[in-house]
Amino acid sequence: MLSSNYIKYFLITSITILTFFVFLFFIYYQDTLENVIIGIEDNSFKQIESLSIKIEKRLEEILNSDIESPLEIDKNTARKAQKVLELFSSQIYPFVYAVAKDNEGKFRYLFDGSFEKQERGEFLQKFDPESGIWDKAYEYKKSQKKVQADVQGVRTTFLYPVVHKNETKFIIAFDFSMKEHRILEDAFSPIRFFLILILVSLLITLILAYAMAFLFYKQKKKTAIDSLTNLPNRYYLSEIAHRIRLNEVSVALLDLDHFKQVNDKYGHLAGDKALKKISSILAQSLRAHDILIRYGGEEFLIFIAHNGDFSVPEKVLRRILEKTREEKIQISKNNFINITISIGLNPHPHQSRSLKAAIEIADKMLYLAKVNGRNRIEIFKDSPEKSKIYHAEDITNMINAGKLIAFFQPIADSKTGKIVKYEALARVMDEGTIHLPIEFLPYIKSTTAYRLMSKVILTKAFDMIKKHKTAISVNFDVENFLDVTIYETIYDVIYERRDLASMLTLELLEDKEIKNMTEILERIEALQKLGVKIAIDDFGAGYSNFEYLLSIRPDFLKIDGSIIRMLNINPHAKEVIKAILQMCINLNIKVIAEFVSDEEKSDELRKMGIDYLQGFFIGKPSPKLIEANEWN
Amino acid sequence: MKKLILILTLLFSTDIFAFQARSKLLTKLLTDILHKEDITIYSNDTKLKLKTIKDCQEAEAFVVNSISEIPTHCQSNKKIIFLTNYKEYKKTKDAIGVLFWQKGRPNLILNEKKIKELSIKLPEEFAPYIE
Repeated sequence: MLSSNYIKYFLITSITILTFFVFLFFIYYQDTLENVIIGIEDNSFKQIESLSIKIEKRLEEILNSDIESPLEIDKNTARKAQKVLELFSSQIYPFVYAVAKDNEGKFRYLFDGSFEKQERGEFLQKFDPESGIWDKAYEYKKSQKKVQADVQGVRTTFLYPVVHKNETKFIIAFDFSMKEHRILEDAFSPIRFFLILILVSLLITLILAYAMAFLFYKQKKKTAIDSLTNLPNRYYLSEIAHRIRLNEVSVALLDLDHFKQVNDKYGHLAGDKALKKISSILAQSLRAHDILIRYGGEEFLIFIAHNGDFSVPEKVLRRILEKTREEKIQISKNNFINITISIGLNPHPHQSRSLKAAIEIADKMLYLAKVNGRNRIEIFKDSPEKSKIYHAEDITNMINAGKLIAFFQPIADSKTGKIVKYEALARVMDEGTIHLPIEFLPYIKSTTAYRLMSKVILTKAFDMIKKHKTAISVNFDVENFLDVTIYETIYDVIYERRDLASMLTLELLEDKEIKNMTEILERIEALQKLGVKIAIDDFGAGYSNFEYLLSIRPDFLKIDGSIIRMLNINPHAKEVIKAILQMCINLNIKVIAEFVSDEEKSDELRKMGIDYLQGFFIGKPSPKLIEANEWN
Repeated sequence: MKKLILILTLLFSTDIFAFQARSKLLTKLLTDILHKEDITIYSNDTKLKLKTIKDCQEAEAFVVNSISEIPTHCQSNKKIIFLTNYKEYKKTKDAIGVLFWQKGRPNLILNEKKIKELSIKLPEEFAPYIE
């Protein structure tokens, strides 16, 4: 089937060709008409020439020897000569006269037999010729003719030089109107009018078609180009997707680290400046045949041509990583910030079944880069054991086959040392291997599989709450709350088990900047009304923001693992934790520290007054509830 | 195509354009004669698109068909008189020149004797018309 683009091109080309042919036909028509007129004219001129020859003979007889100097003839001879010319003038040839050049080169009337007497020039009256044909007739001693427009219409002038002893003595002139022109043109004017009408209509259509094509192209370009960064966008990707040869490129997905914090701290204008700067660095670091696309808010997709050398894309990306690390971005007069990026690279996209699948792998690697501490590249190693790629369909099938299981990681009260609750963590058991969420979660966001997974994990959590009478928390990316079907699934499951809802904590984290916070907050409040407790996950990193603290009243706040990890290394980490703790005391929010990996950290956090501890030191995630702990 | 151009030329060669060209020529001539940009002309020729005045006594130049068309109280004035009729021009010695149409062509004749009498210096371009 022809695409609409091809139809547009076909139409424009057809109109152009049609206009061209109609124009050619118009020229041909005009030429034909002109040839007919020239034929008629030639015939008229031949007739006049034969009349001129007759006049010449008669005048030679009258003038006799006076022909040598016609300006000096006597009036009587002049009158006789004039009588001759009068015989040849008529309504068809109204002006028949003879002029000669005087010694000064001025033309003067000799005899004038013009049909209307008042138009006759007097003997020796100066005559002002309006064109050069008079001199030509004199000089070349040959007849001259000229068709020109005058106030009366189309005037034709025919000049016949009377030559005596190889010298032009005077000129016999005929001025007349060629009415045949008008008659012929009048007869054919409807055809010409029709042709002009078609031509003008076609030209207008053509101009409109080209204008529309230009506007369409401009609009298409506008649609395909991101106005902020001037980079191609997702629409452009959809346009060129079929042209991308996956065996010639590597696919990389880039994301700006902690970009939301830049927006929150410095404002969106500063964020835009940073985005533009990073876009510029990316564009400058790539080669002409690489493709750079602004894939999402702060996500960039790059197709890097490798020409068979698979080390090239990695080198290019490491160069980008270095440049962004070094770049101090000026976001206002006195503020400079340093933005890092995380990169996921799929070096062999041709091994994927589609472009979408290849991008999903790069996305998975990006997710891994973020989980592993950001500001780094994660490269997909195409070993099936290590990097099996799951798709939404695979996950759905596995959930339906009961392969989705829940692990529970204990959370202990730091004061009593007792395990008081658990965090439910999703795992997929496939072919004897347990797969972590990072291996499948990025591909099922906002899909039926995610909805199904949420339902299963929540159900398992409630079953565990009911069985063990213990509090369980379940992790959710709030972005999914914007999806009505996912949200309603979560709501419905909780509503059905609302008698146990108070034992359930929803740990909320943000993976991306959320634009529609109002809607999210309303939905969280609705869940709170069912009795569910709310925890802000990964506070201090990523996108967990203060807006939740202002708009909803969370029950718990979980300090991001990256801060806890730095506790014994970076003295500032302790100060940050203290500050968060103080804030939570003031707001009556319980604080959980995750990634508590050793005794030293555990003791330190307990001393600081952290309410709850979670991490491998407390207990690893397990399919069964760990009731005792080794640390206490 | 030549014919097409001719027809188009004809469309724009109306009487108005012809008389405008004639008026321009005459205005230039009178300007050159009087050595002034703004000249006051008395004329009863409505076809000529000249900037004219009604009071003949204020006029520096007269453009008329014949001397008799100049109001009697202004006839004694030794002003520049330009005629638009050749036969009338032949009858008088007072006109400095004549501009008339014959066989659809403009004809200009300047009176050499009158030019000398009034000590007028004309540009070289008018030389072919002086007799």
